[in-house]
Amino acid sequence: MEKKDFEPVIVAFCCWWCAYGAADLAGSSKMDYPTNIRIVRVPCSGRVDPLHILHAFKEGADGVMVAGCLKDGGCHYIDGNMKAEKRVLQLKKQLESVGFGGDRLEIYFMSAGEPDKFVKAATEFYERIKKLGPNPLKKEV
Amino acid sequence: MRIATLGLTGCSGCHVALVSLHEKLLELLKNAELVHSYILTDEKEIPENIDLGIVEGSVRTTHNEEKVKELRDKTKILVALGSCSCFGGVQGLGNVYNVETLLTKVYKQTVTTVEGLIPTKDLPEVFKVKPVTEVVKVDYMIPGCPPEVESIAEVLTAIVQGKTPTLPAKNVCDECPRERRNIPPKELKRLHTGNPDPKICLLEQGYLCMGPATRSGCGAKCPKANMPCEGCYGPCEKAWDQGLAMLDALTAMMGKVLPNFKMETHPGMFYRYTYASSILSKLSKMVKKR
Amino acid sequence: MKNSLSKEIKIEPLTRVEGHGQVIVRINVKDKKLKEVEFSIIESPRFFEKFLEGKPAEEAPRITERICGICFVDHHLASVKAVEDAWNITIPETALLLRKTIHYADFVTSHMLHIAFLCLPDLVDIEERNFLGLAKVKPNLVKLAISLHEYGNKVVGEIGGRIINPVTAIPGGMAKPLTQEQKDKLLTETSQALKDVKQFTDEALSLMEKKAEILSYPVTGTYYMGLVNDGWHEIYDGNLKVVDAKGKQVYQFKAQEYLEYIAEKVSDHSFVKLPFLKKIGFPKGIYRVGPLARLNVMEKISGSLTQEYLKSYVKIFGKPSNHLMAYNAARMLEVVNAIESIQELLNNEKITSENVRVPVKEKAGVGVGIVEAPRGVLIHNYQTNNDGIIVNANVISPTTHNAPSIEANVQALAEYQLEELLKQKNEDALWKLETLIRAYDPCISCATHLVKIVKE
Repeated sequence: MEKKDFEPVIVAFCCWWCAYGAADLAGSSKMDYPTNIRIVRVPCSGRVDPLHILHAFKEGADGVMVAGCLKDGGCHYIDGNMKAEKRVLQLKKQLESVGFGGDRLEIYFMSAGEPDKFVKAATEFYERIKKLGPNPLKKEV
Repeated sequence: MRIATLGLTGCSGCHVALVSLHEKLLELLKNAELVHSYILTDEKEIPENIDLGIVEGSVRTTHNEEKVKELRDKTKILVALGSCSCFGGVQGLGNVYNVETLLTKVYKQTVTTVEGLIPTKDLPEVFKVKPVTEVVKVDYMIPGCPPEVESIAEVLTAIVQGKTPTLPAKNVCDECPRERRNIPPKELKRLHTGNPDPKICLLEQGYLCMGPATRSGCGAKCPKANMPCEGCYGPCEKAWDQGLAMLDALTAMMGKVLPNFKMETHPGMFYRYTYASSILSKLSKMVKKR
Repeated sequence: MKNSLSKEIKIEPLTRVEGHGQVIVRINVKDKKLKEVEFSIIESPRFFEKFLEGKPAEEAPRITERICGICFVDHHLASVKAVEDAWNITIPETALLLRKTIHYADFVTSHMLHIAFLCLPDLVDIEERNFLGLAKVKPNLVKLAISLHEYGNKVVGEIGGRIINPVTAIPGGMAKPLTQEQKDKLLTETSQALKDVKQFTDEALSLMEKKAEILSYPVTGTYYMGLVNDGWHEIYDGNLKVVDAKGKQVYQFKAQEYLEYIAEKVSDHSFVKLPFLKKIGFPKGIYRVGPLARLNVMEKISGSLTQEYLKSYVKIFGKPSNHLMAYNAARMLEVVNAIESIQELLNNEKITSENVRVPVKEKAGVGVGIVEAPRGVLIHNYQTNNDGIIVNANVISPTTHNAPSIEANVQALAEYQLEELLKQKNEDALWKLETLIRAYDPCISCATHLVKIVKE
C-alpha cells in the first residue's frame, strides 16, 4: 500500500457532554473535518478502558484519539477526564516501548461550545497518522 | 471413563497439584482408567477414544504443537489445566524477546557457559510461547499457577459426573479478608520495603497487589500470607486482558501518574502469567531488535 | 535407516520421570557395536535466565520457583539467598528456622513423590507398573506414602502460604511469623509422620535391597558434589565439597567461588547443558549430585532414627557408594532425616518469634545462592544494578549437573546389554535403561531450561 493512497482509519472516543457536543456543533455549523474520523460516543472520557483502545489497534485502527472535557473542573463527573489522561499517557509509553508507536494515540480536551477545537484536533491527528502510515500489524503476512 | 494427561512446556506443577488430590484422585479414578500420563504411567503413545484429556503447559515447540493437536483429535473433552495452558504462563514473559535472543543468552552467554552453541540435532523447533487455548479448541479451563487442589477437584468431579463446571466470576479482592478503607496509596512500594500491616488492603498500603484484576478461586492465600497477589489465576471473565485491567484500576485509584515501568519490568508485574495471551504481546510483534 | 543391518530404538517419552526426555541408541547390528547413544532433553527451555533481566530482584523468588513444579521451594530459597548475598543482608534467626523447616518439608514431598509414585513400581513385581498398580498390591504402602506427602504439603502450606509455589521468602526474611497454634498443629502432625515414615522405610529399604541387582552393571564412579556444614549433611547453607569415587575430598569451596570450579558445555543434541569441573576438564570432570552424592560427601548426619537407618544403608551399599540403587536408598534416608530435622526445628522456641524480617535497601551487587534441592545442588546467581533490578542471571539446576553422568551411564548400560537390546523382545532391557535414569530422579523441567535405540 503506497503512503500517498493511504487513508487512515481513526477511532475517536468522544465524551457525550463536551467532545461529542463539539463535534455535533462542528457538523451543524458546516465546519469541515476529515471523514476518516469514526466517532464512538461514551458518557465520559473516563469510561474509555485501555482495553478498548488496544482492541481498536488490534482490529486495525491506524490511530485512536480520546476527547474529553476541559481540565480544571470541566468534567461532568468531576475527574473522569483526568483519569483518562493518566491512562492515555501510560498507554502511549507502553505502545512506544513495544515498538508500536506512542504517537498513534492521543488525548484532547475541549468544551461543547468549542467546535473549532474539535476540528483542529481531528485535522491535526489525521495529518499525524497519515504521515505515520498504516497500523504496523497490517504489514504482517 | 478414559482419562489422559499431557504435559507440554511447563514445570509439571499442575501434575503435582493433581497428584496432591490424594484420596480424591483415587476416588476419581475408581471408575475411570488413566490411559496416558507420562509422569505417572508407562504408556508411551496417546491412545484413541479418550473421554477426558487434561493438558498442562504452553505450546512452544513443534513437538508440543503435534502432541496437543493429537490429544485434541483423540479426546471428547479437553481441559486446559493451569495458567500455562490457559494463558501461556510465566515463560510468556520471554515473548518480549525473539527466540534467537533467548537461545543465544542461555546457550552462549551465561557466566558458566563455555564453547556455547545452539542445540538442534534430533530436537524440535522452538518458537514464541502460545497458550493451548490459541492452538486448539479447549472445552474447559482451570486457571492458576498451579490451580488450588480444591479448584481442580471441583472441575474434574463435575466433568466426570457429566455436569458443566463453572469458574468463579469474581476477583481475588472478594475472597480477601483484609480491610478496605478507600484511601488510595500515594505511591507504589517495592516488595521488600516497609512492613505490611496484616489487616489492611495491600494495594492501599502501596504494594502492587494484582487482586483487582485476577480471578478468584484461590482463597486469596497470598494476601493471607502477607504477600501481594501476583495474578496467577489470570484475568477475570469480562476484563480479559489482565495488565490493562490492572492499569485501569490503578490509574483510577492513584493520585500521581504511575512510575514509568520499562518494557522488561512492566509485563513481569502486570502480566506475570498472562503475557503470551495479552493484547500488548500481539502489538509488540513488530519489535525486531529484541 | 531401517534395514536388517541396523537397529534404532527410541524411548520417547521417558515415563515416570518429570519432564520430557528421550534416549536414542544407535547400534550397528553387523558388528554388534554401539554407534551412538544420546540422552536428550527435548523439553523446551523456558529461558528464565533471559526474562529475569529487567525484573526487580525481590520478585525473583516468586518467579523462579516456577522453574519446577516439584522443587519450587528450593528455587524460592536459592533465589532469595542470591538476592540477600547481592545486597549484603543477614536475616533474623527466626526467619532462618522457618526457611529450614519449609526446606526439609520440601524434601519430604519431593522424595516421597519420587519413591512412591515413580520408583517403587519398578521394585515390586506388578503387571501395571504405576501407582495404581502398586495400590492394588501394596495398599498400605501407598496409603503411608500419601500421608507423608500430605504432611510435607501441610508444613509447606503453613509456612509458605501455599502448598505449591509458596510466597513468603523475601529479601530480609519471611513475610509472616509462625503462630503458636500453627506450631502445635505441625508438631502433632510431625509425630505421626515419624511413625508413618518408620513403617514405610522398613519396607522400602528392604525392597531396594532385594532388587538392587536390576541396577547392577559395571559402574565407573564419578566425582560427587554436595553441601556440607563442618562435615555435617546440610541442605540450606554450607560449603560445596567435591569427593572422588573413593570418597577422598578433592575440593571444598564457598558458594561465591563456584565460578572458579564449575563450567557448562553445550550439547548439540539436547536442550540441557553439560556441567563439569573446570580444573579437570570435560568429560573426566563430570560429577554427580543428589542424595547419593550428599551421603558420599558428608561425614555425619543428625537424627537418631536416621543414624539407625544409615547403619543398614552402609551395610548394604557401603560408603562411599557408586551403586545406582543407593541413590534410591539415600533418598529414603533423607526423608527420615528431614522429618526428624523438622521436629527439632519446630521445638526451637525461637521459631514463633515475631521478628521475622529486617529492613532492606536495594543496591548494585552480585550474589550467589546455593542450596541442596532434593535432586542435588541448585545454584542461583544474580547481578543487580543500583536500583536492585536484575541485569544478569544464571541458574544451574541439579539435573543439569547430572546430565553428563546420565548419558555416560546409559551408554555403559547399553553397551553391557547389547545382546538383549538386539533381540526382538527387548522390553526388559529398555525398562532397565529407564529405571537407571529414574534412579537419578531427573527433574527435566529444571534441567531445561528417552531411549531411542537406532540400530544401524
